[in-house]
Amino acid sequence: MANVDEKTRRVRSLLSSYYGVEGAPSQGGSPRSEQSDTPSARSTSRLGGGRALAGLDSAAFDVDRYLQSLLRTTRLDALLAKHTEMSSEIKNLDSDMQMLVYENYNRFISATDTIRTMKSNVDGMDSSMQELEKVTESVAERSEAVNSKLQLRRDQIEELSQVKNLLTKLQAVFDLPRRLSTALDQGALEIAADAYADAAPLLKRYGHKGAFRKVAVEANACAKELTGTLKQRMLHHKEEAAECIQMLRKLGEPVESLQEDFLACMKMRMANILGEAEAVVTAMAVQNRLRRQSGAAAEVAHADAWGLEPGKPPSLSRFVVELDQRFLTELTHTTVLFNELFDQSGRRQLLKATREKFTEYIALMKTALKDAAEASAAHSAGIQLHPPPPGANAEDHPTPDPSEDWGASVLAEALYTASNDVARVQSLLPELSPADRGTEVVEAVLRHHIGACFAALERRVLDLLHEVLPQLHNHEAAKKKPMPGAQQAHPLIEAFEGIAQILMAGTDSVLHAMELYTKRAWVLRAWQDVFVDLVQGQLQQLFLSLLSRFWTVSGLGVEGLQSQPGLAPAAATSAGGAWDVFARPSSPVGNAKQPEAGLLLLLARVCSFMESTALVHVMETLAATFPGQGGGSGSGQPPAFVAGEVARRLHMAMRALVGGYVEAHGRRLSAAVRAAAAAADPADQREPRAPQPVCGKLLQALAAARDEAALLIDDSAAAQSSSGRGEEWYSSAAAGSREGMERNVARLFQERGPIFGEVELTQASVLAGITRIGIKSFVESVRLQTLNRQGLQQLQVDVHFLRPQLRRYAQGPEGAVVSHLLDEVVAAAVERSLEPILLDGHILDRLASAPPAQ
Amino acid sequence: MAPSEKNITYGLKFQARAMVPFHSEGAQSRWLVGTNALRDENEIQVLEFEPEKDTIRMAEVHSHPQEVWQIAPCPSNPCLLMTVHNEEGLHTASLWHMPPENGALEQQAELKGSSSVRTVAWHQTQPDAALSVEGAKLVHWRLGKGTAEVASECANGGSEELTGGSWDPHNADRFCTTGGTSVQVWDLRSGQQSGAITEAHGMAVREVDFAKQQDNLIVTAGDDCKLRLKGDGGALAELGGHSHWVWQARFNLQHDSLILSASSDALVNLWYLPSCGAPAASKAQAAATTPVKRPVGPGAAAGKDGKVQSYGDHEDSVYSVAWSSADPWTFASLSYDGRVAVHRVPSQVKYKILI
Repeated sequence: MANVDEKTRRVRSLLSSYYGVEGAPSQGGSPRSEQSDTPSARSTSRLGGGRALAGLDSAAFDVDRYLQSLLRTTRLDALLAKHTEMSSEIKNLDSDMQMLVYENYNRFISATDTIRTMKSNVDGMDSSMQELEKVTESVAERSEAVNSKLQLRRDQIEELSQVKNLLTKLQAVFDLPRRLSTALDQGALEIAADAYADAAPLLKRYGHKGAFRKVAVEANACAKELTGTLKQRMLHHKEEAAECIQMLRKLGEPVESLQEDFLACMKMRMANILGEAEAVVTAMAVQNRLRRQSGAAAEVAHADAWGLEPGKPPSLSRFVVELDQRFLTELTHTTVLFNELFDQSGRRQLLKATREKFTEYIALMKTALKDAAEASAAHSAGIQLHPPPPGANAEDHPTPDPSEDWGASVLAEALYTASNDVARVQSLLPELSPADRGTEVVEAVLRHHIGACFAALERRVLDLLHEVLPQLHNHEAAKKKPMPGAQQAHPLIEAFEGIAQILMAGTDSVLHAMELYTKRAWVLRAWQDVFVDLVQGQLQQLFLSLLSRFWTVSGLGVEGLQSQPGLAPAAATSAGGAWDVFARPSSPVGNAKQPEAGLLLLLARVCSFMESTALVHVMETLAATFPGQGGGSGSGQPPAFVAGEVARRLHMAMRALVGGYVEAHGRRLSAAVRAAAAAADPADQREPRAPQPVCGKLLQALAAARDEAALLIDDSAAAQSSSGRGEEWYSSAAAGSREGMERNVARLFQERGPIFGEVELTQASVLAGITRIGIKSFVESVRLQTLNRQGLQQLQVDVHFLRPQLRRYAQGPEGAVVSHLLDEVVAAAVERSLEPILLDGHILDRLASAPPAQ
Repeated sequence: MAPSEKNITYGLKFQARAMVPFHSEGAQSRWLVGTNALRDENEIQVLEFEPEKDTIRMAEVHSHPQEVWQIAPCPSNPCLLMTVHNEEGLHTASLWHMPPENGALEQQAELKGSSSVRTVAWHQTQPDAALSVEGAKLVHWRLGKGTAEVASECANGGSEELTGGSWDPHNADRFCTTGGTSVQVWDLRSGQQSGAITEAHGMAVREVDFAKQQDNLIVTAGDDCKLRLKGDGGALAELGGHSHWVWQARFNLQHDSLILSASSDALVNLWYLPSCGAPAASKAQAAATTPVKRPVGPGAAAGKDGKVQSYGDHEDSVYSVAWSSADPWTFASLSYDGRVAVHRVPSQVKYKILI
């Protein structure tokens, strides 16, 4: 036991010395000791008087006394317990210590390792330091070597500069540059060239050495100046070109660069000619009002030579002759000269240069001819492309003159000149294939002319259409202020007649003009069939494009009819592309959301006219003009003008337009009915006295529609004015040709029985269609209301009033439908009324005979 | 019309205007139909379409004293519904409890407004919130057990009479109304009008319906006989195949590319607009509307926007069309004379959408 305690103490002191604790604290150092103190033990220790007895760890702790007191005061079992407790504590302490020792041992080992590593590192460093020293030494050596080498060069440089000083003193010997410049100043180009040529070998040999260098530089500068002068001269004086080139050769210019310069000169001259011609083309276009003058008028030199005389229409043939004379002469001359001066190796260059300019020339020629084609087409069609500037003679629209040839003869003449002239170059420059290009021009211009003629026609039709709208407004305004005797024609009629006239006479005259070409065999040569196809294709294009324009104007908003299957546009062959020149300036009226209903009817009528009359006429004319021609371009291809197809599309468009017209008017009626329904007061207790104002409005709207329809649809009534026509007239005019159609409609209704069927382009069908929509709207608005007795009876009166009136607008089977709808109004009113009490027949008659309330 | 398609119709006793899809279990499609007879005892019928037998039968009938102008079943509780009804010319909305068996509807509350109620709508997810359109304002209702209280009112200060409306299924704070020729967009949080499509139609706008799948896509129908589709990028398409006023237009519940329209020219038109089907579809294509002819256009077969078919089996004005909530390919139409017709989407269109 004592042995154990001693060991413990030793360990303790060892630990405390390690951790720097000065002796264990006297009390509370270890809670374990306090716990171990039994109360008796504490009292004993107190008796012992030692205040340090509080813990086993204190220095003053007396083992023996503690043991004695323990033995003395403690019972055996407690003693045994104490023993067990202490031995377990000791074991614990032992293991603690063991752990501590182990930990510290680990630390010690690692510390040793570190020290060992440090030592070896320091050993290694020693050798590195030695290496460093060596390197530093070698660096020093090298730098010394560089220094000494540089010293050598420095001496050389000094030597050389001395030589240079010497040489500068010899400078005066060389006076070549001055001679050259003097010769240049005197204009003695030949002397200068010779002098330079003599000196050139010397300069070439020694020019890079010493003092010669400067001489060479100056001489070269002079030579360059000389070359420049010579080139200028070559450019401006064609006849001296050969001499100049000789001299330039002496001056040592390489042949290639000479060729280049020569060609550049040629190109520049040609470009001048073309530029001038281009200005003329622009001026002509401005004069023809194809394009607006942009900015200041381009100065055109030799205006009269080009056929431009103020106050007169420009002469195309003179222009062509002049252009050909200037350009082609220049081309041939240069080519001949080139062949003289240079050998064949340079021909590639020549071709390259000439091809470029020749292409430009062809393009310009095309532009000029196309412009002329457009101008004559516009003129013949009587279109003012751009309003003339104020002050100029503002002539009225010249009506198209059927005898006019749409500029065909002038164009043919010009084309003849051009293609012949171009063909002359063939022998000289066969590589450019001028004959082919000439044919190409002819073809392109012809295509363009055909296209332009038809586009001009189209534009004219559109012009008329767009004029109608404001005229319609004016007409409405004029109608409100009746002027006795002023029986002016309705604008719709005027427009229709105008359009019909253009379509018939216009296409005729264009076809005749085109015939002119076929008569001149040289123009068409091998492609007569293609030409005829082209004309036919363009004609079809005219019809179809008019159709799509109508569609746009109508504003029905449905994408063109092209989107229908199997109707691929036949316009793929058209050469013209977009006819920007003939495009209408966008007008504010054209973008109106809801087009005038009258316009829709006009369009429908035009479509119908095109389908039934114009198409037949055109087919006949085509057959007469080009008998047995065309369509030969390939048996597999469809003919260029598919009348059946065009007719089908026209018919579809006509249907749609009539539908649109009916809808537009129907909408007006609907709006009137709705407004009346909205204004109606369900609590209104007034007894019905007369038909409501809405009835009057309905009839008014219908009458307006009837007037429009009568104007455009019935041929016999077309010329009549719109006012003051009685019922008798209407019924007599309506009796004639419509019975077959009516039977169809009747059958349609018996089969299907709906309110809305297809609408034909007849007065009866159109009016019935409008009436149906109006009355249907009436039914719908009644169904939305809840009526009292008065309201019901009012409606009864309204219907009774309307029935005979509407019979005028819808007769036969149509009338039955309308009558049925009127019945439905009453039926709906009965359904919607709280008190279904109807008026008697005779009261009804009396009330309905009163005029509608205002 | 497809050769296999039979004429499946059912006749009501009285005139009728209102029909809506009704909650159903299983394959049967169910609709609620309300009659519109001013002086007779009206009723609301639950019609059931049995696809195997191709027949329509009346599953339930509930009497409803006044004439029915609109039915709005509660989205979450099949026993609750609201109707707009008419008495002496004044339109009022009521909340009803529908008994599980045949019998009279039990009136729970009346959504009494200051003027004629034009339409009522339930909140998509909250069964106690509803909205009614009356006069120039929207009224927000809080529905309780047998009570209906006004929670708030939204007005824009304008006096234009609103005629109808529809709740955005994607955004419970947005409501669209129709009024005059315009469509108004309301922000229900602020109670203010947040936008408008003026001149949505050339004449009065009858209807507006939201696409069920895509956000920000609506169709409007108007008295100018046209349907117009509008999306994020403005007007997408105009469809004009009717010859009289269009009363209703409805997006399919599953496929935004199918639209039904009902018109007083007695026709029901089914439209297929592939460009509206998927948001990724090019909108440029949508701008191209195809011309509509009376016969079934091959344009529809070519995958372009356009009319698929016109259904002509009504003889009177069609005021209501409704898709089936059970089968996305079935729909019903209701004409004023009380005839209900059920049709299916033609299979070629169906396959085009599915495959």
